[in-house]
Amino acid sequence: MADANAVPRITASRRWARQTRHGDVFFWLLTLFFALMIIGLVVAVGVVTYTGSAAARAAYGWSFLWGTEWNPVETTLYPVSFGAWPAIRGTLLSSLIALILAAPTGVAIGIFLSELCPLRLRQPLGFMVELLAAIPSVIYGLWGVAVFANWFNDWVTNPIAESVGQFVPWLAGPVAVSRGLAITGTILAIMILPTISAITRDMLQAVPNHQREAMLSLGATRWEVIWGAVVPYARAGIVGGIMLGLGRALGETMAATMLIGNSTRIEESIFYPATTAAALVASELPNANDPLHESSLIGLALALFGITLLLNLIARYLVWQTARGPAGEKV
Amino acid sequence: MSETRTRPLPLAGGIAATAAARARTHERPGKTKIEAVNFDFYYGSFKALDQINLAIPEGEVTALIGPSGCGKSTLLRAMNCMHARTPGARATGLLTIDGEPIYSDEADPILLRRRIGMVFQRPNPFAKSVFDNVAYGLRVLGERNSKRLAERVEWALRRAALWDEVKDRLNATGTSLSGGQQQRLCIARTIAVEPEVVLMDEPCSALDPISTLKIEELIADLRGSFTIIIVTHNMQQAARVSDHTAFMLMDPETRAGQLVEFGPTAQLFTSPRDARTEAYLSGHFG
Repeated sequence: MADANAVPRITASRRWARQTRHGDVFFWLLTLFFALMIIGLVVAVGVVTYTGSAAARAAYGWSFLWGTEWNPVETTLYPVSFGAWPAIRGTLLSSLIALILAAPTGVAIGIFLSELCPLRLRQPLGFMVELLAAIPSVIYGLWGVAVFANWFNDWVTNPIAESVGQFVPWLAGPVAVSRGLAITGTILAIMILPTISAITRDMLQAVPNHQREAMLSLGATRWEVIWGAVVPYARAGIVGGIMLGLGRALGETMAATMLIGNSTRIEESIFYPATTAAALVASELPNANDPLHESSLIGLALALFGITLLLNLIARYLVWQTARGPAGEKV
Repeated sequence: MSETRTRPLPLAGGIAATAAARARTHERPGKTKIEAVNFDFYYGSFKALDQINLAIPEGEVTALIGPSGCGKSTLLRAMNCMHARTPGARATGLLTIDGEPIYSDEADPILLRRRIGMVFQRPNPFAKSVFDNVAYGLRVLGERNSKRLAERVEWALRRAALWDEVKDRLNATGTSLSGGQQQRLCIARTIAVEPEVVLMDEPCSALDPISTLKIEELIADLRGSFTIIIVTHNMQQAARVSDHTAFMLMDPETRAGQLVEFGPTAQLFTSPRDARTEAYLSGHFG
């Protein structure tokens, strides 16, 4: 009988040999290169928009940001002038409308998918939500123009404008065309809804089960378990998801161009046509023959870049704030 | 047989001595708090518990011991319907608290869990302050008066032998405490709502020996005020803390958990009636 204590032999030629570390160095350089590329891209975008907007900055300075007149073509009444405020205002307002509509809805959908949905429905519903995120924005725009706009006019815009709008200027009518901030914000909300709900769902599913059980064992109802333990545990991630959705809304170009009416006049009512920075750049840049016009559009892009950067920083800060508060395991 | 398999018996003797000492001080007949009669439990088509018959006395400490997979945690969690979230989990037979069936159409698991608290294997405080951790269950019960909340929170923390360590940092996050403190915080959270029964699912398995000792002292202190049922892997622990012990085993063929023997801890550890109990206690399997 063989010795039971004998160790089976293996070919361990590398046990004592010093290894060359070329593979490590190569891999380190490769990943470093890609990582630096990210920084390079951000810098490149910044530099290009900054240099490209030199003429506009020279002509208007900081007041470019709050200039209210955007007149690329000289007429008898209005001289040529480029002010970014109508576009910035449109961007911020349409995104705000989208956020107000989509954040609570998206979080609710995420809660349903993660906590309440019957198992049989969870997979198909989750798949549909992810599918919504994959639809190209031009299709949302098209659907918005062809289908949703009329419905929105009949059921939302006109009833509100004719009732509350009589007294509240920013909800005022009359509404002739079905293009404006409100409908754009609504379509943007539909577009960012899947992002928010998918991230909320993933964040809630990552909450350890022992948190739910601790709550249940105290005699909490399902709602108390969700609202008292699960959602607070995941709130940093949920805020991150909402911010990701907001970022998408801010930069959305196609659907906004198709639905917002592309008017650079500032109207008080959200039912009137307006424009967004992305939509204005996309629609006017191909026809901008005047150097100042082109430079102003690039300046607008720079402003949009700055806004998204700023909001992302705020979001980072919020996530960091909630994460370092009494929010459980270290992030 | 290899030599390492056979453990010397003095270990079991030591346990028996401790248990006998406990039995001398705590021998008295008790009213039955939780009773299982021909109780079966299934996960889908898999039978996890087979014909459990058990009467857990009120106000005393009952330990559930047995090797991994014998169903002791399943039985414990069946007592407060913790399986409700598990798809396919169902029970047949009878499991009662104070004679009322736990599994029936009239029974409300949420009200039941307000009577039966639970401490888990890993400390699981909420991501809230120490105070709010203990106050949460009270708020669930509807207590809104902040003075009464504070009084009860202090009482529970004192009862859980944690007050002196945390009284100056009630606003610190529960998760910032040490593991042993977290587990005592969870015990405070559980007893704050004054449940009739406290279930403990291997409450010391994630703790160091000193924290374990503190929890065991705490269990001894809570004995009498609460009916305590503790699942443990640690036989010495069962001998140290419990008045009654249930020994469970997995049926090797059906893999269903069965109750092998239930009795006063001293008797079970010194003179087990079943050969399998004796084999387990002397370290022959599990």
